[in-house]
Amino acid sequence: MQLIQNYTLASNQSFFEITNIPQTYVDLFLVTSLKFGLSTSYQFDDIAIQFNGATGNVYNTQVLRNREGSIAAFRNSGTSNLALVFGATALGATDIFGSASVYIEDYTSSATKMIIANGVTETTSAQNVQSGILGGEYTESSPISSIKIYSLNGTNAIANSTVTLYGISAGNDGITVVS
Amino acid sequence: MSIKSLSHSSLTDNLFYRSMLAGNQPYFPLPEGSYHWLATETVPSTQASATLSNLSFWADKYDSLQVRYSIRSTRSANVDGLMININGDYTTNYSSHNLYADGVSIYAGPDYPQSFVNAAQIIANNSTAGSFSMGILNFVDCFNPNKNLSWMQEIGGYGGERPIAIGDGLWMSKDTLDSITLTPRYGGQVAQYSTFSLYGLRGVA
Repeated sequence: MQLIQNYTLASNQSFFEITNIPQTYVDLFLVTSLKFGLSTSYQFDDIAIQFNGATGNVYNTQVLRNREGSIAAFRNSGTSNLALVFGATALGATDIFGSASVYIEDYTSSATKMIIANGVTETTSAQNVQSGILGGEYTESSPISSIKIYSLNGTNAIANSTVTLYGISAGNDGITVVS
Repeated sequence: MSIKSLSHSSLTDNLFYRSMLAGNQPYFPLPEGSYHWLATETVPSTQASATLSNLSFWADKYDSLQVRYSIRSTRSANVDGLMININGDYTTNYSSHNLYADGVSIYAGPDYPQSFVNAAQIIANNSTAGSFSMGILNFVDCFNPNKNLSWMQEIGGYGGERPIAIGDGLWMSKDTLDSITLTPRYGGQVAQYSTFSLYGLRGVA
């Protein structure tokens, strides 16, 4: 696993965008530590992701989520972004940032790209949190060369939010056998 | 810190050092890649808890840490709970929320405020001999002094009441992460052969 890019916000901005992603790895692994600018009435927000700037209905997701103790399982097909409906905090969570990871398989393929993600938020109360796990698809045939990360509710990413992208290599150690 | 001279400090001045470093910080060349194994310890005999310590050593080398563990409790039951404490803090600075499953049903529950993070349930003494629960703790951007420490946690095992869970933990402090202690919750101890490994994720090339 090799670091591709790490970026920490010095001040608030509307989104992260990682561009010119090298096409030399097999899979991508994105790790985030995010807070968005939803008002102090809220302690969590949702993460949205788009690949290659694609805003068409090219994303499918299936989710298991715990929101404030309420468990839900649902799916959304043909959406305009990959909605991680968990994993980022909001302004009501003082100096607490959500954590999430997104694994993108075979990102240089011309086939549909498969995605698995999970994420959590925390707070100092019994409620006001959400966590979950997601399976998703990006159905476009073009290889992924850029990733945009932003608030599903349109608010800014807050200073000290961090995104880190890693590339996963493949190879053969000459010992292990898979048959 | 200044470099200490081996010849002057140790040999000519008759000072005793346990290693040839003679008081200097060890040179630690990082391996290739950005995800590194740092340590593994296996519990040699039953003990009350397990602590990964001196983690602040990694603060200028890694952005994120990951703990992967295999644990079993000596409690005389199918399962035990598991508590996590940071930097030896046992005050009510913690909260956690988990989503559990037992193979049939799912549950969700908060734990706030607590003097520990609830890391869900682990296999205990009455479960199948030799079975352990497997867990992962992901501490993302964990040395950032602007953030209270929070992490993702997941655990899985076969047997017991709620053997699998995903969730999160919060230590409401921005102090530098230095130790993580895992302790069985309901009277058991960490069983022999429980194993704890530490990994680092680089944020700079």
